[in-house]
Amino acid sequence: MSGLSSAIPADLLAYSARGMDHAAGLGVVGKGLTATLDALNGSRPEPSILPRVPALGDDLLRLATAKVDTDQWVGRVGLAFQATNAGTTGLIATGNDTLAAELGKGSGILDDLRSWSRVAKNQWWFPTVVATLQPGGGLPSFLAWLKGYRLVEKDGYVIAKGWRYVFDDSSIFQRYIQTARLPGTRYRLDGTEVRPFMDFETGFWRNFSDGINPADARFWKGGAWVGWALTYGADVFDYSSWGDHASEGFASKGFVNSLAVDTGIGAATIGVSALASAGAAAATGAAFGSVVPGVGTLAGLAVGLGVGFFMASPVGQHVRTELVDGLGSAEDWAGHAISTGYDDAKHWAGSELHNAESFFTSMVPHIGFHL
Amino acid sequence: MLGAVVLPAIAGAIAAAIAWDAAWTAAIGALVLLDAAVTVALAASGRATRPGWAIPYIVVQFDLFAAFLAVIAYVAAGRSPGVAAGLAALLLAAAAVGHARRREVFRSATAPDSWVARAAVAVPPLGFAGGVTGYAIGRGLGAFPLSVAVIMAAIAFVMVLIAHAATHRLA
Repeated sequence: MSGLSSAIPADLLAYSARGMDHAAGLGVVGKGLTATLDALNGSRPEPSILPRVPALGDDLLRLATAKVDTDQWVGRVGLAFQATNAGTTGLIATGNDTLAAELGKGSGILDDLRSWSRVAKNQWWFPTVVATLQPGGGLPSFLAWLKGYRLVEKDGYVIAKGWRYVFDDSSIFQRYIQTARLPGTRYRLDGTEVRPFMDFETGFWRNFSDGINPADARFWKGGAWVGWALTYGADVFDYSSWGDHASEGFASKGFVNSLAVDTGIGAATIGVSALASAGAAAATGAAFGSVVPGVGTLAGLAVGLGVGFFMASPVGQHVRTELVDGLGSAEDWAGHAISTGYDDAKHWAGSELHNAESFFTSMVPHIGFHL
Repeated sequence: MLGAVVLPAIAGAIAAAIAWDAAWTAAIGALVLLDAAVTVALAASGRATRPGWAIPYIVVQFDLFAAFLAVIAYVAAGRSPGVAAGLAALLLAAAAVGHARRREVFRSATAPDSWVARAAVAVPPLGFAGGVTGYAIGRGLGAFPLSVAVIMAAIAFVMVLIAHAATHRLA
């Protein structure tokens, strides 16, 4: 395989990124078409009037899948060209053997990283798992509950019942479980120690703060930073020399908009997870008259996992791309509106100034007359 | 207590987005709207504070929440009719056991020495372990849907089981 091949790597990478976005869009249309045609065929129309429609949606989905493979391959070729001529921009000519060797080596790892960068962002169930396993988290609370530790509401107080003497055994397991236990045995219902477990609103704000507020110690302890690090890390990878958007780079508007959109998605996901968690905890507290540990955590986990699954799906990725593009268009529109508005205002002010000047000039003889 | 209405609303919205299908969206939307209307009616009539109304209301919120999690599991597992039947059977079994054995399940929330507590405790770790294993041995999105399906089904089961035991307080 001798000879030379030439290409502009940035163009190949841009083609690859846009192509994969389009493939995600095709996938969405394919799914919708499949559902609609299924409904149509399911209504059993008279064949002589409306013959059975073939599964066009499935064809579209297959096309989208094949398109993704092709687009990924184009991206890999772009990266191979880039790797053989580091630091060179524009048209690059490379020997076919060198190119083939570059495509063969290490591309698997990069492909893996690219796949992970697509699915790792907006996965807000990772922090919930960390928060569950950590000392004082859902799992030790659940284990303490199994051993008979209870928080029971009575006459405006929450009483800690059962298994009070957890410090007797010094095994690691016991120490782990005892991290879930409150130090005292009786707390006011509106006290800061137990209110988040019994009151919906307080529980929500505490859970929400745990997820978004770096100044809150629980943000670091509970593992929310893991979710943010994965999301922002995946964005940084996407716009690095190895990612899907390598041609755009960190100085691009796309990178800033990706960070902004993922920040919004992250905050919204943490918000709905916190709502579900607080709602489940408060509801079981009301129904049982006692805190049932783990139910709120499980509800939050289910919601975080559901949102993560949606965001990793072709539809979710398409929605995210639309949000990033929409934000870019909104910025362009706002920039244009501000610029046009400034010019109009300047023109209007200039013309008003001119009118005022003319008015005063015309008034001067009259003023002189009065004087 | 009425804050429990957020559970089906949030899970329903996520399930509709994941299902991405007009029929599912219409069915889920109708249930969520009906639920919201019942919540408003309970709040307006003052019945929300009476255990006779409050506890069944909470049970229904958890049932709807679990049903929507099951929809997510069904879609994640590839929309197979067999999976749908299995999930429906799982939730019906959880409701039946939670209701028929409500005394024992409820006691598990106050004295965890019964078999029900141990059975309930075993489900989420098993589901979680299955999900994580599936995720670990697969790559990217391949094993992810399977993990989601298993974990969602496990959480839905526990939610229904525990919620139905709360009816013990009505006795």
